[in-house]
Amino acid sequence: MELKDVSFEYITNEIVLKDINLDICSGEKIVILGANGSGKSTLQKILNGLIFPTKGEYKAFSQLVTEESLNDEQFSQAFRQRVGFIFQNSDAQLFSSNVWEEIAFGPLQMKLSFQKVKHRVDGVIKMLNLESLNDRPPYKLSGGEKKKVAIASVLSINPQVLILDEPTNGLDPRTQRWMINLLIDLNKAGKTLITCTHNLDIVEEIADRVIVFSEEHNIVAQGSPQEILSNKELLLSVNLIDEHYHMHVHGFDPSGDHNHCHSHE
Amino acid sequence: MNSKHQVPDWLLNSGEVGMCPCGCSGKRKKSGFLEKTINDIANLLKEVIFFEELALQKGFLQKLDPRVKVISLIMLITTATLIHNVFILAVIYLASCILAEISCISLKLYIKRIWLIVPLFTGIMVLPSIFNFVRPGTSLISLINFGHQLHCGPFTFPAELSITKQGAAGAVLLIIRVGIAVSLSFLFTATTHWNNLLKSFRVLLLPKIFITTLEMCYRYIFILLSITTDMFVARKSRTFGKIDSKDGRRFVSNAIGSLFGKSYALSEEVYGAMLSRGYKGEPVIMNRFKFTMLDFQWLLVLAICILAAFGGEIILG
Repeated sequence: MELKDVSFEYITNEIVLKDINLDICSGEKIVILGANGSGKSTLQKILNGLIFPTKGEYKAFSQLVTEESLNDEQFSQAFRQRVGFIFQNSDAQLFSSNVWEEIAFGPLQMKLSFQKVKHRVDGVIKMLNLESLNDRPPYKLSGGEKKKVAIASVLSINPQVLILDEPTNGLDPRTQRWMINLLIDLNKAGKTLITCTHNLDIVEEIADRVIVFSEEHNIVAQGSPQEILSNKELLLSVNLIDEHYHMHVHGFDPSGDHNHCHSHE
Repeated sequence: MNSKHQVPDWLLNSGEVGMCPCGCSGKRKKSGFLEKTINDIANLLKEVIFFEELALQKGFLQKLDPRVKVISLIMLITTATLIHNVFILAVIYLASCILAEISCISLKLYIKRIWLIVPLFTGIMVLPSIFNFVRPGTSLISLINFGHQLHCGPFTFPAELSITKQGAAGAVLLIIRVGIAVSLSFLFTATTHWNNLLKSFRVLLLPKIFITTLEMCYRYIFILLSITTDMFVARKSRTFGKIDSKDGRRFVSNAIGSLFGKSYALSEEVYGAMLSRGYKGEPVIMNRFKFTMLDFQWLLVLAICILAAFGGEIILG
C-alpha cells in the first residue's frame, strides 16, 4: 500500500489529512498513534477505499484506488476481498439478523457457493469459539462478543490486510488480551495489520512500526515502537500523553515478560 | 488537591439537601413521561424477547419450513374469508387452537391476544351495518319508532330504527372471519423467527432489497431504542422534582433531533461497513431453510382439510 502526498478535507479548507506519504509492506504490523481528531480514522477509511483523497494518490497492490476504479465490479471485489476493516463501533458493523448471517455476509457478496460460505463461516466460528452465539441477534451480544463477531465477519472474507480502529476500546482486560493474541497470531499467519489505538500498553506487541500523527493532521514521526514510546518529547508535542507519563522499558519479550507504560499523578 | 485544575468551592461541598425518605420534607411525585417512556421501551424489549423465545421453542409449527408456513397462512386465510358457514369457521378456529397448543403457545395467550381487541375494532367498523337504516332486512330488535319516514337530503329512512337479522348475522360473520384471520396470522408469525419470516417472503417474489431493508430496520430499531433509553435515563438521573410541560416538550424535541442526527451518522457508518465487505448495491442473501418430509405431510393434510371445508360449505350451505 502506498500513499503519495495524500490530503483530505470533508469541508473545503478544513484539512483532516495533510500531505501524507506512507508505504506499508505486506505482512507488516503498523500502529497509528495520534491525539483525538488528528486524522487517524480518516486515513484508515482512505486505506479501505471508503473515502478518497482530495489531493495525492493512493495505490493498493500496485493499483491506483479511486472512486472510479472501485466502480469497476471486478476491481472492487478484488480490493474488498484483500482489505478488511474492523470498525470501532461494532454496532455499525453488525447489521445482519444473527451472528451466522453476519459472518456469512462478506463471503456471500463474493458470490461463493453455499458450501464454501458454510465452510468459511463454520471455520471462523470454530476458530473464535463463537459456536454458542450462532443464532443470536446482535442486540443480545455483550461488547466483547460484538467485537469478536465483527472480527469474524471480516476474517471470513480472508483479507490480506486488516485495518483495525481502536480494537481494544471498551473491552475488559481478558478480552483485550485475547484480542492482542489473536492479532499476533493473524500477523504470524501473514496478515498485514494497520491499527489505530490510544492504548500505548499494547503498541509494542502489535506493531513493528509506529506512525505518529500531529494535531496538524500530518505524520511527524515513524519508527520502531521502542523508539517512539521512549521519545517522551515527541508524544508530549502531539498531545498524546501528559508530563507524568513514563515507561518501564524492558523491551518486548514474546515469552510474556513485557514492558508497560503509564501515567502517575 | 494536587492538580492543575482550580476546583470551585461549591464543588468541594456535598449533600446540601437533607436526605429523609419518610416524606416529612418532600412531596411524592407521580411517575412522569421519563419513567413512562423508559418503562414502555423496557416492556417492548421484554415482549420482543418473549416472542423470540417462543419462536425458538420445539413445537410443531416451529419445526416447519418458514416458506411452507407463509404459503399455509395464505391458504388458510383465503379459506377463512371465503367460508360462510359459522360452524365450519368454528371448526377451523378449533383446529388453530390445537395447533397453538402443540406449538407451545398457551391457549390463554392465544385467545386473549386476539379476542380482546378484534371484536372491539371490527365491531366499531361493522356497527352501522347492523341497523336497518344502512342495511335493510328483517327486524330483530326494534330500537326507536319515529312514527313516520325520516328524510335527510336525498335519503329516506324507514319509520322504525331496528337491528336487522341480516345485519347482525353479517356483522358476527365478519368479526369471526377477522378474528380467525388475525389468530392464524398471530399463530404463524409468533412461531417463526422474524428474520426467517422476512426471508420466507421471497416465495411471494418480494425483492431482495426490500427484505434486506426490513431486516436492517428491525436490527437498528434496537440500537435506536437503546440510544433513546440512554438519553432518557441520563435526563432522569439529572432531574430534580417535577419537569414542567414546557421543559418536557423541549427535552423531547431535542431528543428527537439528537436521535435523528445519531441515526444519520450510524447509517453512514453502516453503509461504509457494508461497502467494506463487498456490498455492491444488490445484496446477496441466503436462507438455510430445508423442505422436509414433515413440511410435505403438513401441506398434504392442509390441502385435504381445506377441500373438506369447502365440501362442508357446499353440503351445509
